[in-house]
Amino acid sequence: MTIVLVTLSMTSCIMEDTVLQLVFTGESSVGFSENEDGADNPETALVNIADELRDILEENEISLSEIDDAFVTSVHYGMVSFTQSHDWTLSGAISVRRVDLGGTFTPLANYTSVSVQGALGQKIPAALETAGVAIINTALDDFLAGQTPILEFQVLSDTIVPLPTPSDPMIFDWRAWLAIQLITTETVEVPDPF
Amino acid sequence: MHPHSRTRGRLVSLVIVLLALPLAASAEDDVQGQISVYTGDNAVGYLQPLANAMGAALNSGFGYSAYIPKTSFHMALEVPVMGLFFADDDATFTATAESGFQPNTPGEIFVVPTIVGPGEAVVATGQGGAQFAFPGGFDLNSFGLAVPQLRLSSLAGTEAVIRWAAFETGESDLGNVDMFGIGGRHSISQYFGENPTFDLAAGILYQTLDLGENDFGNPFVDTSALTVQLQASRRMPVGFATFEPYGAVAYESLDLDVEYADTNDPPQPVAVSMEGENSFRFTIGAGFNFSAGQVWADYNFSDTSNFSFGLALGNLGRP
Repeated sequence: MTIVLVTLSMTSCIMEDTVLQLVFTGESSVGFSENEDGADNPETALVNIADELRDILEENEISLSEIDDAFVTSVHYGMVSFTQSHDWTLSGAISVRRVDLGGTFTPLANYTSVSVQGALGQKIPAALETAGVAIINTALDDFLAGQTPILEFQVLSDTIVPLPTPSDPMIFDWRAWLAIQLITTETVEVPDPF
Repeated sequence: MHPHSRTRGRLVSLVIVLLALPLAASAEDDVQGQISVYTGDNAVGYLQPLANAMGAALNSGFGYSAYIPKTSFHMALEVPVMGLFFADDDATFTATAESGFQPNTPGEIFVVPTIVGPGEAVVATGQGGAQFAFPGGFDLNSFGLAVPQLRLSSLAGTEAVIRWAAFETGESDLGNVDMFGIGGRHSISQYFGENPTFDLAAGILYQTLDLGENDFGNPFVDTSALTVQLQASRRMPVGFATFEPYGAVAYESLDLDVEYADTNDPPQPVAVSMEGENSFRFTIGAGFNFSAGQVWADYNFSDTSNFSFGLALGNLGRP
């Protein structure tokens, strides 16, 4: 025990401050319910991105002022419930707009020939569009500047095969996930004994 | 965006036996946070220098003399200190895209910090202007490990070596530390006659080390190490002490399992297994034996080379 305590007292001599950038990843998701008996109608969902970011900050015990940068990393989508007897194939886009700025929907991600059955229970990475990513990144910057941006997401399948009918409606729930990374800089003590 | 830094008072007092173990010492929570964006090969690449260092250190300091008395009671409390300096190429590894991030070129690789590398994150830009931050390292130059060790001998030229340390640190960032090692060495040279030209001993040491606690209540790091060693030494009286140069060859292994929470909501466990790169080592060193103990120092040549030194206090029974 004595040796342990001696060693303990030595440790304060071997600790050094080092500056490192910590990366925090958070995920926000929105759900959409489809019940179509013809051409698709757009489905929309609101996201208070400020609340989502505050959750990330709270979970990781960091404050807003500590964030160096925040940005979109990826968007995934997938079906969360589907019980019909035959599959549907969809092509379309997920779009986004700034509600608080009265913006218009801008494509964020496209999906092409997606099997509803095949996407059930999956998180499929989406091919992103620069304009839509820029809207979210700007919203993140505005949040860091003290604003409360609100985003609205829309999914619209412009091609559905086969086309739903009143006797054969297309019914399923799906979800889109938005991954965001935050970077902070901290000074931590690390051991550098030699 | 305002760069900000802060200093966290960390758990200096809790480092204790693990003199300088980066995972445990300063920022186990930060390490778990940093690695949470990684899975599979990226996680292995980020942690590999630490696995190599832990393997090299844990498998050191086992023996500093091949002389083992035949049958008599001897006991020594020892503190071997094992250390190394990280090489420049330990600072980075090549990573691939993670978490659905799609780089501009499919299969693109990125040179990013390991856990011992520079602290600055590497931010890559991909399709649609999306970005992915590969986390920074902890900017470490060296690694050290000091472990209390008890040596008991001897029965028919055989001795036992025990390493043990266990701490429950409650709400601290360190989490739990649980280390145990047991080994034995047997004198080969006792069969060479009464006064062999040199002493020769063979030994084996097995150790386990658990560190921290993840979000699922399991150890963050679960390590096991094994070394099998053949050591030769020669005792040369010098005044009141005995000078004893020694050399050894050893086979060794280190298995390191890491489990942590990923970035999904709710978090899912990610389990990563890796091995230390050392398989064989050659050791050269020397010690001075005096009436109440021994001091020694050696250097170990291997893929990850390291040094060790230490102090033994007790009734060693060295003639």
